[in-house]
Amino acid sequence: MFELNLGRFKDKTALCEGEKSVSYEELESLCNSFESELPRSKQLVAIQMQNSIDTIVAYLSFLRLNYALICIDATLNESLKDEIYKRYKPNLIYKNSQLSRYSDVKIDIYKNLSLLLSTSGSTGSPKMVKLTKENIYHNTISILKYLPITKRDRTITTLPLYYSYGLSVIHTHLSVGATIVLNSDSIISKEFWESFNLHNITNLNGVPYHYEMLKRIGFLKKEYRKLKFLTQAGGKLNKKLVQEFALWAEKNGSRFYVMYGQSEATARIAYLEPDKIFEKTDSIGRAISGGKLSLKNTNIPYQEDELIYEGKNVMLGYAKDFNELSRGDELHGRLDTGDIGYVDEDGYFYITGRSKRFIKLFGNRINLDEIEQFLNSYYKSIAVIGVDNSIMVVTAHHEEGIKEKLMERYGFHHSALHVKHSESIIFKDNKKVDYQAMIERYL
Amino acid sequence: MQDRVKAVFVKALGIDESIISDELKYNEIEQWDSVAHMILIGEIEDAFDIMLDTDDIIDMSSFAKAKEIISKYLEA
Repeated sequence: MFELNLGRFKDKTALCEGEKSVSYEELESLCNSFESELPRSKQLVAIQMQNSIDTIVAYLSFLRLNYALICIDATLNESLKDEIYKRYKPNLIYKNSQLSRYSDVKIDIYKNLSLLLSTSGSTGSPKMVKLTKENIYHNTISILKYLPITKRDRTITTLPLYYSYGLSVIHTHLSVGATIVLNSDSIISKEFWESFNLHNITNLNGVPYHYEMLKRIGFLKKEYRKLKFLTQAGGKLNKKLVQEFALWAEKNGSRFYVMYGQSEATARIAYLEPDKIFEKTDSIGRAISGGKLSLKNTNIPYQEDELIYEGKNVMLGYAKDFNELSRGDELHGRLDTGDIGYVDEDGYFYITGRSKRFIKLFGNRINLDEIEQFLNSYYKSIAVIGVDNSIMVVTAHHEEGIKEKLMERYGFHHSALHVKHSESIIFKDNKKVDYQAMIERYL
Repeated sequence: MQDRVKAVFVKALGIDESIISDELKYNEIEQWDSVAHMILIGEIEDAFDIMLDTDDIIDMSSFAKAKEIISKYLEA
């Protein structure tokens, strides 16, 4: 699919990075020469993802060779990277445009396993989602059925490429011969807007945090006539902002797509058609083509239950270390999303909560259990609770240095961290920690 | 005014006052990343009771620049 026959789009510009640009023909030959030095047998490679031409060439080449790739945040703290390497023992590590051998341990890898994405990339969670090329192809095709991406389009990267949404933008745009501007600067930087204007960007993608920042810097007061569409995924955007961006899109001849997905389903699960956005503002829409959304134990409108997704983009399963790479498909196309929601009488889905212990911190998915486990190795009687953009550590004793440890390891902003000293941890009758009760009492 | 701006930087970025100088730049210390920048903008607006424009938010790339931009609003 997108990684093969890149040369068919000839001299169309595929990638831009700063002053450099690469046509599809050139991209094809860069991949060919990169591959020529590499072993033909299936390798496990850890790739530190940067928004760069080099990273894309390596990524595409590894896929073409049918390797299994572990995508890692290049900016992650070194000790977290090491933990991932120790657990997975990759044969090769690709970082800063250099490939080096890491481990000679022979690992048994399931033949169709192609991509491993962390369940929380920005905190370096070693728990990975295992995906196949089939997963990626099916999801890419489904997305291209509703997003009007053409070879005349130009997008700019706003998301990191170790993140499923960031990768899906690359996959869809390369599939149709569009141009991708590889940017690493924040959307509130001068550099970003210079590139944005220089390249006449037509497609913009972001998580709720990006839309909050765009609103904050006055985007909605401006006109961007070249912008054909905007997409939003990666969490629930506040209803008022959905309406404001939808109105802006309507006025500017643009389209605003609210979407829903998970890495566990490669990227995309559902989307809301832009012409339904005012009628169904809070909705995640309906399943993508080829997929099916339902509720676990009910089909009665407005009754809440866990959302279930079925489709060919559902992962093989999870892995926590290299021992779990030999296993084949464990989910058989059915994913319990862990998100709680309901469906209305027209078949549109809505999300109301989460059953798993994840929050979003300034756009990044954070697993509170992992933070708690990390702190448990230093302190006794500690519990971690949180809501979006706020993490609270509750300790039964007066402990020092908690915030500092979290900032050093995960790079969290201090304003998002709160510590409640000498408070009791609340337990349920079955002796499990009652996180919900603590959120109600302490947050 | 320098001291008031300094105080806002200390609070928003969670840094020690001693490292703040005119040369302190956005993205050059890990505490002043894009997340911290948005928090800093909010704190500046609250502290000085002003509303910053898009270009000024994007331009505020050093402590010196921040002082310059804030004074422009206070004089207006």
